[in-house]
Amino acid sequence: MSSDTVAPEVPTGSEEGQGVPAALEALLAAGDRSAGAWATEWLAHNGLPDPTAEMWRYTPLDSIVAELGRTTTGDPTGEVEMADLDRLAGRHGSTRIVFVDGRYSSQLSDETGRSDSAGAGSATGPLPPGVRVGPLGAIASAEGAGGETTSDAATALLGTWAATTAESAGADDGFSVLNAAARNEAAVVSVPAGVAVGSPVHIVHLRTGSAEPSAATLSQPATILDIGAGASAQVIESHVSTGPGVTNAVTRVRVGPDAHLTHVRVQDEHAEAVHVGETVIDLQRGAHLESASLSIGAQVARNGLSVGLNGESAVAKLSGLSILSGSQRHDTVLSIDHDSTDCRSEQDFRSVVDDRARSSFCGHVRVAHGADGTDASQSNRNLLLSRTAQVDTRPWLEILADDVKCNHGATVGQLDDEALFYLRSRGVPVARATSMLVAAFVAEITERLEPESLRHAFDDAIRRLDPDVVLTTAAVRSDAADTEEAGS
Amino acid sequence: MLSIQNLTASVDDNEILRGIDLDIAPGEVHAIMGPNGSGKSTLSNVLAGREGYEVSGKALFDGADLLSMEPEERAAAGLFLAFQYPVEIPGVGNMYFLRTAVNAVRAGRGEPELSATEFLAEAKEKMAALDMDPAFLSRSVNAGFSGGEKKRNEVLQMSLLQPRLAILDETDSGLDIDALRVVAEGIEALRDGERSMLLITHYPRLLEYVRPDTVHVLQAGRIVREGGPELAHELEESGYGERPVDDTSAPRVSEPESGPDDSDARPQARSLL
Repeated sequence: MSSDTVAPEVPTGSEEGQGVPAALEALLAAGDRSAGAWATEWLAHNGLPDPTAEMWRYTPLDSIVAELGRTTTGDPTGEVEMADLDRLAGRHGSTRIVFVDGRYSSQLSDETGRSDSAGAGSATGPLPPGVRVGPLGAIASAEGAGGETTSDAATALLGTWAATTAESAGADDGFSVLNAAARNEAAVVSVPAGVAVGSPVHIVHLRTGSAEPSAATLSQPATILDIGAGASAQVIESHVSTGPGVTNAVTRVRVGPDAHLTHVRVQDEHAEAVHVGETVIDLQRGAHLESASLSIGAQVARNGLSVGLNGESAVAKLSGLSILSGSQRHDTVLSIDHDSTDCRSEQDFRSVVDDRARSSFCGHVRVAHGADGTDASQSNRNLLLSRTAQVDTRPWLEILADDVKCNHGATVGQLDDEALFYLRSRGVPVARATSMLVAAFVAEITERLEPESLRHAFDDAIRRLDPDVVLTTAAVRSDAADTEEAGS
Repeated sequence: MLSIQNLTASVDDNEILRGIDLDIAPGEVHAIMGPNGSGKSTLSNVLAGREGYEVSGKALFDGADLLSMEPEERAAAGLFLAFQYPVEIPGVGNMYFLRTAVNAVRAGRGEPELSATEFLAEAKEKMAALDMDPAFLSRSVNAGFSGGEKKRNEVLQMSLLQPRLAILDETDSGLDIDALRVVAEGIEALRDGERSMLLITHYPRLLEYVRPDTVHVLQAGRIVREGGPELAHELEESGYGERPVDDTSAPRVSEPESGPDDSDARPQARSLL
């Protein structure tokens, strides 16, 4: 390489990075420094992620930092009516627990039938005995496993995997550490070995707006899902808000040997909100994960999903859907690590982008040395509904093993002109034909969602794209059940 | 019912139709035959309102200016095109599609919508006549259908939509002899003395089942011969031959290379779904 082509050295690592924005300093100063001493120290040293970092390159970090700065001036009201909760988050499954501004709300949450300290499970609750659903602190103290901070309690009760720690935090994990620095109650679903939880558990994290409408609030919810060996569960995690501000959410998941988890994450925040979410999932031998990430609300949203296939024959089926309009910016950032043999990962991520909105997808798949028998597939499909909509898609495969099956594909395009003309030639007006095709594109993701109530969230989102057309994804599919129904 | 006067159509400065004149009266069945690349499918596409053509001339449908209407307006007015290559639409159920189409056209005629139950009863009856399994209703539109199944689905749509003028673009192609008979009987059954049809075909065999009143031969974008049904037989004996094109100075339309006819002499559409 000749000398004149050498790029200037870009400083990497923790020393400088983004530095500590003034906004962050104010937040840390205002917070209780003792709540997470290591975290505040870590942040003072490392700051927020470097905007040039691979996993953050499409994310508008400057807008996020600016909004964080505004949050220091807005106190959340913490006031939520049950009707507002139902409208914002819906009710999916038979057990719903609710956290408002990072605090457990017993008024808004269902009775969980949690085992009491004597170990006798409530006979009337919908949850099997031994299943723990609720705020971490209460569960930990009931079991004598307290801790001064959320991280301590999580570590004491469940293990180090359940918390962001100084040891596990990487250079770009500033937002996760910021979350750890907040002294909030984590939502916990813990299922003992061999137990099948029959009906879905719905966790709602709600951020309330400020009493002062122009101000922004900050909420830093945490969620921990622990599925024991051979156990099975379905968890729906909703993030909603009633005003502008920042939600910085962290979810930690462990799926034990031969256990089965279905995890649906719904981001449907206030239209002016900023949402930063990070989900870290540890899959052990023979574990089976089905994950769906649904991103509808917020002005700026980043959905980070990191999955470790850490035991042989683990399976991760990941899907995601973003529906954006106006000037929304949504990023999906995946990191899939195949660290064991004979594991399988599937990704099916889609976006529908209208107006001046912008969507990005970055899918990093790493197959470690010796992870033979790996089967990894990645698909990212994007539908542009306007000339000013924008999509960035970046597959990123890093394959260090030999016996591997990997494939990936990405498409960015408009509606199929042929299909549109075919529908119109049969008398279907263009607006309706358009939404039929969009609904069909979306339905390939949403039709897998259970319970059915989840699918309606998308019908509403599609309607937002074109308010003149009232259409449901279920109707467009018009599956065999509909035909049967119509015939009876 | 349909009156076409000096209709021309071009794509990217290639003139594909070079002045078509054609009149179809109510109840009449006309056939257009011609070799590959003669403009047969372009004519049907232009009449149905596909975008991407530069069009001049006139096409009046019951006196209304067809060329200024949107495709869905043409359908509501009673025009139907059976596609040579029916489009697969994964994710849109066939039953939902058919019922939406029927109700859209009914709304255009000021008729009440059919309920799901009413629609299903009618669809099942018409499917039985076309020897179609009712299971097709619960599949996605044309997705994974065989060539013959797609053509039957086109004729099913025609029988449900009850158009006043049906254009059938090579509905006979790709069918074996039994399927051809079933499809042809389905078409013939819709002939009621009121409804007009324009059959576009490469081969005369369909015309043995659906006997046309008039046969037109299209070559290089012009109608070069017209006659009664006997003309189809004559063409079968002698072929289209190479008749000289009178305007030899005009650029010859390039033959499409991939398709069996001129249907792809139109802008390529990107397909995503």
